[in-house]
Amino acid sequence: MSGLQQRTLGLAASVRKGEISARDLTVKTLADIEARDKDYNCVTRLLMHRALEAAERVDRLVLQGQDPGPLAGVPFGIKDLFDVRGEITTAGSKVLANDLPATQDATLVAHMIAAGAIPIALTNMDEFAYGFATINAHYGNTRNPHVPERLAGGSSGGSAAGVAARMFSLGLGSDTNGSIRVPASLCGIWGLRATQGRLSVEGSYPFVPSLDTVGPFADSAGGLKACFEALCARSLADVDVGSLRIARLGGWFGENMSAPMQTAIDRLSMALGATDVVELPEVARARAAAFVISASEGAGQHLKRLRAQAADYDPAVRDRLLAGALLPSTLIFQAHRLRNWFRDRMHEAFAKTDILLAPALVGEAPRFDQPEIEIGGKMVSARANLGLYTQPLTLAGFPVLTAPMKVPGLPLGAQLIARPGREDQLFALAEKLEAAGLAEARLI
Amino acid sequence: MTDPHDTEITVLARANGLTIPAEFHAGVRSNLELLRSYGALIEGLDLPDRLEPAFRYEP
Repeated sequence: MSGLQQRTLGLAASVRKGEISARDLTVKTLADIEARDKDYNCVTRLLMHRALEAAERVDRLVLQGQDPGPLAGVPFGIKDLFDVRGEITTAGSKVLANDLPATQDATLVAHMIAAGAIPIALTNMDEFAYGFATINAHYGNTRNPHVPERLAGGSSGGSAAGVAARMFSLGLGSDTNGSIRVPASLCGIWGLRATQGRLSVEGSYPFVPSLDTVGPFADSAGGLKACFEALCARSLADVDVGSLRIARLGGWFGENMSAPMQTAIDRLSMALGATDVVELPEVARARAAAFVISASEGAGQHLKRLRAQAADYDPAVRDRLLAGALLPSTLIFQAHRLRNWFRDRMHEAFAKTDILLAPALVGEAPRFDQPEIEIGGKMVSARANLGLYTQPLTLAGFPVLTAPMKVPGLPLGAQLIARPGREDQLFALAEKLEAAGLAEARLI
Repeated sequence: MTDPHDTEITVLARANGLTIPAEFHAGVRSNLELLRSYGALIEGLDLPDRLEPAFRYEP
């Protein structure tokens, strides 16, 4: 059997006890990725030297009786927009290919290594994180490990699919409009978009600075929590999960679901006693504001290069960025005012609840040859609408955890949303769902 | 005869120092139309004059 055979916490425990050598595990993991990734295209570069260097450090500390860190020996994938010392950060593009290699690790990468985790590979993404599909004209498409003729989702698709394929236990991604939540849902794993500003974006290539967040994927709820604690370099306090009040988001978030998603969300709501339904106002406008801010800021980020070498971009991304550059600035101002207004509505939605529950996507992963899906009775672009339920929440910056619901058929994720800074509540609920058999990462 | 949409893209692009080749126009136009539909949604909501933009944003 190929791929990692233990999940994050079990693997770290075995390495910490000296039952498994981190170096041996790393060598096997690198060989496994080389052998199997041709089927999925999760990885753009293996970090052979850095991985072995980190593994040998862990083994040395174990041998010396010192603490190698809570994630000792656990391999993690890194979306190729995080700086890794000695590597060129491509952000999924060719236009940065002549940049100098990074001189130091991004803050999150450094925190993972300090916790004993092993940087195993850089992972595929939509160019400059502008997409929901991990369809990339330069580096190829990442395939869903559960059904390779379907999308893995994006833009952090390589990190998510690599976890689902047991190539690494944890992954780092970014989530501006849903780029962690979408692939986590489609690949059947755990993912977290942290509260805006809670995890450092230092050393990551920006897409939309107003909305960008970075965060983890994991093979288990406990692994996701341990990873988050490593990323913010502090332990979370325990939460009394029984005291959490849970409600379901209705309105926009109750429409357009596929039959399997509707059934799964109904079942999860019932199991959690989430009988109250909360409706957010003006969700379509909130999503529109996120769209417009993304296009405009993304264009601003790339304007100089678009003037000189637009033809070198992935054509799909190029056209989005160029269109964003043509928007009037007054519209961006209005979108940012709407953002403040929507944040207040989000806080009001939490007046009588601690956690809100919503679907992550309308349904299962679309096929590569299925360019359209039905939304509101109309056939629309599947790729552009994968963020239908994630993008409006982006605008408010609240933390959202994607839970892989235990369902027959293809993977389906649920969004669990908390107040800003209350990731601890999300992890408590995630661990409860996993223990109760209501959610579980599905690995191949 | 020049397509007025192409002319519009050319003029808007020039205002931002961009020259967009004709072969990119169809893709740019479809994205611009989508963004404009979102723009209409944003501008369709009446917000108080004294509501500040979210440039210094804390969730």
